[in-house]
Amino acid sequence: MNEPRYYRPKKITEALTILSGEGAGARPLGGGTDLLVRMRVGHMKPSVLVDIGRIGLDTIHPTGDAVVIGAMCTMTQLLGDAVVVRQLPALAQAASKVGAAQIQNMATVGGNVCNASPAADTACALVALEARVMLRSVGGVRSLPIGEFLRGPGTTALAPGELLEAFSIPLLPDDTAAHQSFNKVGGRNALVCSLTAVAGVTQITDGVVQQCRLALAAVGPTCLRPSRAEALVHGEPLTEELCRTAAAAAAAQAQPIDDHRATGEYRRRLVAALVREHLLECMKS
Amino acid sequence: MSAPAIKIRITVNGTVHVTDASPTMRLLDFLRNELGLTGAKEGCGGGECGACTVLVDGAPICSCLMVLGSAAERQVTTVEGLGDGAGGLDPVQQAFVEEGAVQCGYCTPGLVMSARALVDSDKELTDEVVRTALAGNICRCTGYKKVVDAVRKVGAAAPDAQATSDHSKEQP
Ligand SMILES: Cc1cc2nc3c(=O)[nH]c(=O)nc-3n(C[C@H](O)[C@H](O)[C@H](O)COP(=O)(O)OP(=O)(O)OC[C@H]3O[C@@H](n4cnc5c(N)ncnc54)[C@H](O)[C@@H]3O)c2cc1C
Ligand code: FES
Ligand code: FES
Repeated sequence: MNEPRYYRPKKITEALTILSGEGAGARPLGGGTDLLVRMRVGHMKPSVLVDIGRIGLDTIHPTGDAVVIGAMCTMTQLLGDAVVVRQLPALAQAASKVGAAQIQNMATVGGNVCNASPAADTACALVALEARVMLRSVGGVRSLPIGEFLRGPGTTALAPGELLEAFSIPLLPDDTAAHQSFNKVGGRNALVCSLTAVAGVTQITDGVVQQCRLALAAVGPTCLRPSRAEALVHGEPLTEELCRTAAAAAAAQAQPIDDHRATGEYRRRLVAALVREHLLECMKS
Repeated sequence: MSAPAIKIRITVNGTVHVTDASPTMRLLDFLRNELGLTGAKEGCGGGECGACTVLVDGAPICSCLMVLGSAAERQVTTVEGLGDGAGGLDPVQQAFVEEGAVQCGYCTPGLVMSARALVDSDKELTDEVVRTALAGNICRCTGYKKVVDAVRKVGAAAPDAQATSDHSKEQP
């Protein structure tokens, strides 16, 4: 394998200049937990690696009605941040399910999303949290809803020379009423790619669902929002019957495939079980 | 900015090294082949087994998935850096010996480094906490019971030896 050239810029502007100057063969290097595995098996052969670990994209700060999380924050950092743990528990729970300790110390939230695996755990939580991705290139900045950023397996809206700089996650008006969860099922407890995962963010006021956002991982080309299930519970008081109906609607909207890890039918059942679990928990608490 | 072919400065077990080695060399290969520190092992080469675990700025990482350039200007600790420097064992290593937590030993340096980082954290060493912290280290031989017992024993023996950790590690 031809060794890629390596840069370790100290500023985001330097990183962007290198990326745009080097062209298509250049890749940002985050924690490396996806990229180095892909390079090792020959799926990716970048000619230039731009290590973005020292350009200051690793802060988390609340801005009043939102929380801005730098792309280079690691899973461990998310788990250690009081704002994330308290206000964005779905994201914290997802981060805690990524690999094991060593991977959590390296893996970044930006890398998880840019890698665009349909099974990515924090990407799933960020879809339910309706995060916006903030992108930057030498030409300027733009932002997109994460649902538009994720295009398909391994495909995003990232333009050549562009970096994902941060996520902006809107806080719910009354976040104490927001029930958030992230649950995944894999073949074993740790270090496992999700067969299916479901993130849920539900706001209930006076016993009535004000909004319910669900995200389904690993049952489609990208993380899916089961719009019919969300609409069924919207404006309604939750009952066991309604939780079951909505769960069935979510399962019907999933587009799982059969593969070596599980059948599509099994994944569909998992979707129903995990959505129902989220809604039942919201109903009870 | 570091242009290609610049020297890399890295601290390993307290010693500063300035090297011409390629920045895209894996940290694991740098430690083993350039420095002769063969404690960290290659099992899977893909982040799954933990045999290559070393500490970077105190945190366990897989040295098979980190390039040397990313470890530049940082503090790396390998299993060779534990103990008192005069052959005396680190308390974690001592507990592994006493509990019989080593069989073939291939996983041991990695397990010891993960355990060392855990003992240095502010976490209470319950069975579950220890098992979660060691979930990234696969052992083909021991069945884990004696490993977990050893780590919990260190925690019980030295509750005050828990060094300051640089961030609170709240669990959701
Ligand atoms: C053993 C193991 C277990 C794993 N388990 C899980 C798991 O349980 N759940 C899960 O979701 N994932 C898992 N992963 C996958 C991986 O760890 C995560 O997706 C991780 O978050 C990737 O982040 P990174 O910083 O390491 O990305 P990198 O490998 O550095 O980058 C991934 C891709 O994104 C690009 N990129 C990175 N950052 C940016 C940026 N800021 N802007 C633009 N492009 C960028 C890179 O060029 C590359 O193409 C696992 C991986 C391993 C090796
Ligand atoms: S060799 Fe690095 S995790 Fe297996
Ligand atoms: S002692 Fe043999 S792999 Fe753990």
